[in-house]
Amino acid sequence: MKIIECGLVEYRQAYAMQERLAADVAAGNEEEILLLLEHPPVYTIGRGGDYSNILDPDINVERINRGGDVTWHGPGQLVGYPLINLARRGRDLHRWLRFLEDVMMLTMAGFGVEGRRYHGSTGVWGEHGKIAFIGVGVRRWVSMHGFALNVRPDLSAYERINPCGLPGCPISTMELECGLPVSFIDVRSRLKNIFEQLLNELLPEDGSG
Amino acid sequence: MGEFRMPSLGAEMETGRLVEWLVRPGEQVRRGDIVAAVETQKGLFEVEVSEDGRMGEPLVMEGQTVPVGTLLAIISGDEEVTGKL
Repeated sequence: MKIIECGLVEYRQAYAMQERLAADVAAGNEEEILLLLEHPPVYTIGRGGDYSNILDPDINVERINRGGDVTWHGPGQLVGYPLINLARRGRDLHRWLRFLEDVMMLTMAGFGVEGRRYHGSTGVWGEHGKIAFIGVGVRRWVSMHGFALNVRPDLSAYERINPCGLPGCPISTMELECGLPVSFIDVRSRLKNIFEQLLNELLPEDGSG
Repeated sequence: MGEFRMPSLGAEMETGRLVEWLVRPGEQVRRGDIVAAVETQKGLFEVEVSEDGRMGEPLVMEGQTVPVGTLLAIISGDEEVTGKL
């Protein structure tokens, strides 16, 4: 698979890139890809999301084809869009979500942050709140969207929404959990090093699809 | 005649929420067309039809959560449509 570091990319530009590449992956014209990037500040909501979770009527929110409710992206948050052919990796959407959580937890663990799941809620929590956000879309069994890992963003933007539709949900960052500065670049390289290996371990290609 | 049902998107999936219909009743669909979006946990799946035909009335409304296998709509085959004309 290919891992592409895109740097800081406008939300809509990245969305268009995902759609194009996912279609290429589904058609077999492109190998599987992981896009790693940061967004300028933006709010997005899943197609089935509830607009009452947007607390500030003045904010602009992009409605997109992923699961889950409203969330925020911005600088200091590592965003990953894996375009993976799940047709060849077991065709199981729930296992895909659990895999993404595992990637988040294993990445954090390298910096001494213990991430955990809350039963019944997708995502990863630390001691002080939710650190990693997961929402995916699947078209022709190719995954789109993915994860957002709070490395060291400013958290004030979350005050204007009920993040993930959970009123009062505390939000945290890796840096808050550690109590020490955490390098964005180091987190990104650790994630790059573990993603493909864990993918092949947990969702191996089965020769179908 | 074909039956369009809530798909199973994983071994442990019991129910799914019909988030959005992407075609209208009466519209012609082809095998592989995406006709609805279904959500389970934090995953949104765009569901394709497996045959050509004409989309029937929705039997499940947007926002409803139903068990896997629930009939969502009937797709009438081309012959059947011609027969009615």
